[in-house]
Amino acid sequence: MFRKLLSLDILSRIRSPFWQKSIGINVVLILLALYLMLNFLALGFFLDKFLMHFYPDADPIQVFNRFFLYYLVYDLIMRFFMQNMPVTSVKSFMLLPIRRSRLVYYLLAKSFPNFFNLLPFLFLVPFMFKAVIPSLGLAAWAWLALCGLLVFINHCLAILLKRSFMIRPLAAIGLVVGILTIAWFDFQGVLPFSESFGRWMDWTARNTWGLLLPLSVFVTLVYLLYRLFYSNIYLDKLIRSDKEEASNSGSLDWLGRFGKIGRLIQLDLQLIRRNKRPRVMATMSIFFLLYPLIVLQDGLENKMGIAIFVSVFTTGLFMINYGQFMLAWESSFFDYLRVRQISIKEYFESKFYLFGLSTTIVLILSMLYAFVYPILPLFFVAGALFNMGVSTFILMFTSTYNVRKIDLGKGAFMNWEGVGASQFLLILPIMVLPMLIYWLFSLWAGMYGGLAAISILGIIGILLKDPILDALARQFERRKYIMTSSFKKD
Amino acid sequence: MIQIHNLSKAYGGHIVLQVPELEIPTGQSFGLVGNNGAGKTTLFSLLLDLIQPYQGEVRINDIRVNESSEWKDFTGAFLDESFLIGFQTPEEYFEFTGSLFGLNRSDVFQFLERFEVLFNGEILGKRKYIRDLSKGNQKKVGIAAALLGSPELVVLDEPFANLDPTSQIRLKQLIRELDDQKTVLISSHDLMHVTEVCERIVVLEKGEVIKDIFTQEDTLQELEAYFSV
Repeated sequence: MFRKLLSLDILSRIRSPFWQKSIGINVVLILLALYLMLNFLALGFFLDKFLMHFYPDADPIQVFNRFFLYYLVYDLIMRFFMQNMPVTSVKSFMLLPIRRSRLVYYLLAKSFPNFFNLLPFLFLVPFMFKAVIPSLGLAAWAWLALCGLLVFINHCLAILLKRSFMIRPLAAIGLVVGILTIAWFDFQGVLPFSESFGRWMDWTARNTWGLLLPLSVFVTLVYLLYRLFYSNIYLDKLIRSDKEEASNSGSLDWLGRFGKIGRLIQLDLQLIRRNKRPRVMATMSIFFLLYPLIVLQDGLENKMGIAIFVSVFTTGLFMINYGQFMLAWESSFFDYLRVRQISIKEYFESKFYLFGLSTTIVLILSMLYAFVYPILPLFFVAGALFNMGVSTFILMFTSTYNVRKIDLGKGAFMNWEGVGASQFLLILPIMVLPMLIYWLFSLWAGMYGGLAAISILGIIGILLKDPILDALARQFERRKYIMTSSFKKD
Repeated sequence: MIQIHNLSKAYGGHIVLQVPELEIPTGQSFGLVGNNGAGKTTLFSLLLDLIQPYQGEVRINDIRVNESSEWKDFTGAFLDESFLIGFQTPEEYFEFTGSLFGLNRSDVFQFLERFEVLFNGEILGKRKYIRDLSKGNQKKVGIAAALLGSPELVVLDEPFANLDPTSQIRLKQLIRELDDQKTVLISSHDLMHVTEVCERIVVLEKGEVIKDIFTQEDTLQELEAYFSV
């Protein structure tokens, strides 16, 4: 029975809508995944060199063991936010004649092969072969087993904690405060937790029977999980309803005073506020305000091209991030838009103002960079104008090629829904075009000439808004049937 | 009101709908029945310009639906949940839809008073988003929104499905009370409901019009005889 369930699970992964993309995108995704994996493998391989570089007097394994505690804490926090128990998967088996204990085993087994459990081995194994085996010999395998057990303990702990914090949210804050306090004591050297932890790991690796302690912790946690799920395999308990009470605060009624365009902007803001993925995207855009600090940390000299890129990217981040899925966000109510008296021109116009507004807000905030780089605000102004007058329309044009629907109910992490060829196509003009124009005009008229050229191009776009929107509306008319029917497909 | 001429729709070379000629005059309540896959929703989707005809045309008030969107000013429709905006509360949704007809908040809520019985206290003032309502309640929201702004043409796909018996009866009442100038198009699997509400009934089978009858005493028996193969 267990084997049957497992084969069904494999089938569901192979036939998952995740793969129902064009081959090109799948290839890109696989290459990306391989690249990330390679990074971690390389990290593991060169880790001993790094550790020796920073701690020349210490044994790299001991240093590693000490820092492994931090990794585990970080891992636990990440799991807490991103790891989900695949509980919905048993829903369809509940009525079948399968013993309840089997279902729980299946559920537990299914939860283990995930990103967080695979990732550490990518750097643990190369590190073991390169550094641990030469120094510990056979005991290296005990060391690997110990690391693995600790990762799996984290896995169980994350599930248990997540469940109990759903019932007592305040406890979560307590835990974070606790971890921070311990970390602080550790850094100050008052209570050397990480050092004792490292020593314990060293000792356990050399005394294999010491593995019994983490093993018994792991077994206990699995048993607790088993009990927890055994008593909770009921429809209403498994699938927690995440129905949030509707709040009127997000209704933004005052926008209605600005006519239909205002109403449509209101609709957009409601969409962003009340759905997880767009909400996360919008919040991320705020963090990216710090992006210039990272890229330009060595100063601005001889980095004008990069400064252009940064200014377009920063002022347009929300717009690009949100706008790349324009019309796909609306896939769940696309028929409504098609049948009601909202013309696509009005629709695009509302986006024009929304994006203009977001760019302006970022522009005002980014003026603070004047304190760090006095000349950077000029770049931001040029970038913002370019975004308002050119990027906006590029986004609208490519949006008519969005044919993959987006389920607004799903989260943002590793969510490839809605990703199609248009996302890859639009990055090029938005990112490369301003750099190219700057380069051409700055050869001829210096930095100010280049900035002026970008700004003027943006202003021309803003002034020609109406004819451009008309052309985009005609483009939409050509694409509307294809979009309507493909948004209906899963 | 509606003229259909030589209309057909094909998917992958396979004809799924073929209607040579069909005219629906203003004020008629028109029922569309047929088994699954008969082409009811396809016909309504063509009517609302949601899909492209393979051949032929649909005209509403003598204007081709795919050439001008004038018909949107006097048409209300509810085919499925993609006519609903899930992350809005019903109130917001009605207000938004009403605003497209130039109605303000108080107009909208005055209009909704007549739905009080149908809503049964489960729709308004519940502080719930439409996505969190039950299927039946979602349907009620969609139907009310389709009637908002007193459209001359109302298109409802399976309005009785998913509704509880009380709501079905109340909905029939509501439809019958609509003024005579409204053209109402309803598709349904429920022969009884449709014969009670509609003056004219068209039976579709495999994309073709098989029967076109004006409702009389014996219409229900006739339809039941036809479908009980």
